[in-house]
Amino acid sequence: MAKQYGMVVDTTRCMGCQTCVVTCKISNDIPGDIYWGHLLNRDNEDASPYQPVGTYPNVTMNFRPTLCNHCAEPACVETCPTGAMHKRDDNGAVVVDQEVCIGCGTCVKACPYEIPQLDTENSVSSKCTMCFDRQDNDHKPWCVQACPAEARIVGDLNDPESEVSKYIAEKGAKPYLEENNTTPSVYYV
Amino acid sequence: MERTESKAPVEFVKDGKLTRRTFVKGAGWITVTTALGMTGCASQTNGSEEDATENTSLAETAGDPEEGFSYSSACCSVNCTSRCHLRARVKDDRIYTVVPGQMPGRDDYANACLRSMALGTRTHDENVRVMYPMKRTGKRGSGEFERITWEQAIDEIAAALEASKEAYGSKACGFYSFTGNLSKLSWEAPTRFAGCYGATAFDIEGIMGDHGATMGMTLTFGQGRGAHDTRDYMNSNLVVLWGRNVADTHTSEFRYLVKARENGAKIVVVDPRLCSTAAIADEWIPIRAQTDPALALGMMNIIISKDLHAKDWLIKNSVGPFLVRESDGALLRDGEGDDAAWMVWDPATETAVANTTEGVTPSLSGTFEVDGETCRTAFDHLCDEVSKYTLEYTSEITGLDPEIIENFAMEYINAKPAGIRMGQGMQRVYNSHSPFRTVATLAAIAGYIGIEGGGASHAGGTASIRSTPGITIPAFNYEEWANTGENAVNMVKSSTLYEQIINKDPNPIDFMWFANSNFINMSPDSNRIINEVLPNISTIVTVDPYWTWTAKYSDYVLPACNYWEKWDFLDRSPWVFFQSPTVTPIGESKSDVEIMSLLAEKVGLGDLWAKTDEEWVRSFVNEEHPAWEGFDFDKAVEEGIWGRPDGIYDSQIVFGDGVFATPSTKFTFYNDDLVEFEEEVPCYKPMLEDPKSELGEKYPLVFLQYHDRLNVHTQHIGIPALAGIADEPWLEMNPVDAKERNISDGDIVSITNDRGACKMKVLLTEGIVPGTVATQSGWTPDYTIEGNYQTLTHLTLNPTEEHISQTCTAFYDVLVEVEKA
Repeated sequence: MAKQYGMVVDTTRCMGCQTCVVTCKISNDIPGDIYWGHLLNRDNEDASPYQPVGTYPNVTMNFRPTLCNHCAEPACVETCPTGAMHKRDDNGAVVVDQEVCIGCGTCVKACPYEIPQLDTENSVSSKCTMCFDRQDNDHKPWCVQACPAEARIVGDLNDPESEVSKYIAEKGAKPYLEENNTTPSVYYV
Repeated sequence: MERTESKAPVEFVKDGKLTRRTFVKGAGWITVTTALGMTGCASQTNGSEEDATENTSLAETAGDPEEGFSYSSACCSVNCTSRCHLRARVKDDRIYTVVPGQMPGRDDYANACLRSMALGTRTHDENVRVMYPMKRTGKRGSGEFERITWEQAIDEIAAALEASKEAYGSKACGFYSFTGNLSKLSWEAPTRFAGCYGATAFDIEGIMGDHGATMGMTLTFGQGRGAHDTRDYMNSNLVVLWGRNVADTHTSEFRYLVKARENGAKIVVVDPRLCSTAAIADEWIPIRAQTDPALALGMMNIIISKDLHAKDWLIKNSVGPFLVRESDGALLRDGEGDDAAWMVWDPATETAVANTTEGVTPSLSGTFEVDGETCRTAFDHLCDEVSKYTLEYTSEITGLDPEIIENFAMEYINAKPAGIRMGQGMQRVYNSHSPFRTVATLAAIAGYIGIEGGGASHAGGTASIRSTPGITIPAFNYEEWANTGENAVNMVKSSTLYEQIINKDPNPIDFMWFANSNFINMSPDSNRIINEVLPNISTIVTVDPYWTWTAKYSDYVLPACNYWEKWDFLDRSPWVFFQSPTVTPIGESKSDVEIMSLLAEKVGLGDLWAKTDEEWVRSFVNEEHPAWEGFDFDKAVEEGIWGRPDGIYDSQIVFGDGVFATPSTKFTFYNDDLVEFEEEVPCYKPMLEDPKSELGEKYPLVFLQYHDRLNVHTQHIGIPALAGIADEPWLEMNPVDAKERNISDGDIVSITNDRGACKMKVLLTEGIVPGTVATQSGWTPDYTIEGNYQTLTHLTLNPTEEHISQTCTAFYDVLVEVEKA
């Protein structure tokens, strides 16, 4: 069976430092003010990440770092008019071919997770690649390598013996907003 | 696009905005205008395209994206508590990213934070780097400079230095090298020059606000540092992070707290703010700012009154049984002189005996007659103080519910063991020596000192070296570096810096050299610095990689390499960092050693500075010592780090032998030289700027400045890659305080007191104690809407602390009022 690169993010380990967000931006040389990773408030989507939930002094603060979910049924791929947005056969990464992309923004609107972004400098869609090329060559994705809390585990979801598959099973990790029905490859504890 | 170097003088900003540099446009020049995104150098555009192609490749098999890149090391020495091994990913003399570097002997320990990654990009950012030697042309602070040559800069600075020496003596020349880069050559070069010249240097900790921790540690443990390895918390049932936001200020250790929690330890955060670390905490104890000693005393009261204190440990390892004369509070000694033992009461013989007497188990409590003098034990004196802190009184001071205090005390004493990690957040207060002293004493009362999973730790400084029998030579050859020739440095307290300059007493400081420091931005009361301190100095030189607020007020600004551009060396046992230049220094930047060597040559001290940076680094290795068995210099430089074969890599604790570096070798909570200040035992005194005082009627809010994820001090401020996280400071405020002031989330507010004012946006949060507001330390005036947070702070000398060593700036002992702007 072909691989499906996936990730589990353990939010009980996350301190919201955004090292993942920053290494992704710098290491992938992402232009302009675009970031491929973001940080959400895990327990209150309407609040900023650093506004705790609850009323003083009974408050908690938890984070949900996001990246592309590299879905099994990606809405961005389905709606892309040019075929630039595609799902790789060999490892399941959802990537955009910026040579083909016309920057129409259809994927930006289609993704229920608001992941693809329009790179206005180059008029193309821009998004996380799951660092599939790094993984193909036995390097960890930048965000995984950088996480000071070791909150991210990456690997092949189609291999039940992979570290990521076992962690998901053991901790009962779930995708974010499963009701979007795109079958994400990123899971959260 | 090709860039040619401008030969014309570059005129540096006139509009007061340090980040906007006006370039003289000429043939071949590009104007650097980037405010966001990757830095706008032409050479980087090519790199971006290549990378983009790689990242979105549709090739069947992705090529190895590491092809064409090499890696090179630096020690991140910017003074958070970690000292991480960084690896830069390099191509064509440009840093593409920064990743965690391996720590030999500890595969689990590699770390690089977002700050260090961002600083890699700042290395190439001509918008913020000092590119050339610059001389002021407008008035100080105007930001008007012209480019000069290194030769002219050194000639003129040397002449000014000699003139100050001629007029007032060599001690009138001040060299202020602080913690912007703590690697050996960078940090010590200016101070070494001061030594060679017989000039004045400044003992760092006081003015920067870290010295209260050192004083508190020294009073109790006899040493300024001492920490359990964070891995030791795997042995703890409770871990207390007291005024210490590990996530943002000691990031390399955070993962071990996560693991300790997963191992079953309860994590408690004591902090007026719900700091980042609280994201993994089981409980937040929202203490009213700067009342930590009162909480520790209240907890001790609960523990002692329930008779749960560790009596055996206290008798054996503390000054508890030492006898104190009722008449004058002095400890009773067995004779005269510093070597005399301390007297204790032997209940078996009902006599006072020396504490060194074999076979005696002295009384921990009691009143005794010794040679006609009434004496009581030191422990009883502690209990006198502790007993004032009833639940009700402790609650009133700390703002915590009595139930929370009691539960915390009982959980702590019953945890067996519980470890405390103390942080400087609780000691930036007027009586800065009290918090660490009091919390450490709490741990001692509980019997948690020197046991696995316990301790009251202040991180940074646990030696991890096995001694090798028969080896007496040092591992490092520092003799030549330490040799300052015929002169010696005049090291003075940094707490007295302003007064020395304003009053010219005792040293009539006339010349100041600032290196490794954005002095104005990171020192208290910036209006006082600008209006009263700096005008009294004839010549101000700043050596820095970046255009800082301090640079703007200088007469000469010299371009310094950052840590990616030069050789350096750092001993962090069991590791030694060997840093070589990763990229070519930008513009005409030089290392601190090169700069001091040029100046030394000019003033006739060249003989003491005859080595290159690399030669100095090589000279420090004493290869005959077992620390260097199997050592190869070139390999160590390539790998960036050397793990000593005589090093200890397993988790370690401190004070396991019950021996302390105090005069009596005992854990100390009675210091008779503090009787005159009525502080002989750990105690709590209210803030200097107490919200309950008269000043509090005008300025009711306590104003904190905390260290945030985005910055250590000012080095990381405004790096474009961090802008998506925050591109300006904000003021955290509880909605309760906001409502009283009709302030809404996101409003621009003015923060004022009698010393200064500052405007910024407000973030309403339930995660801060009402009555306290907080902003992030480090933001420069370019990023606040108006003013700067450092105009609000003060430097007030504390007589007790000047007696102990030196005052620690009470950066968090500040009252303000906040209004909608």
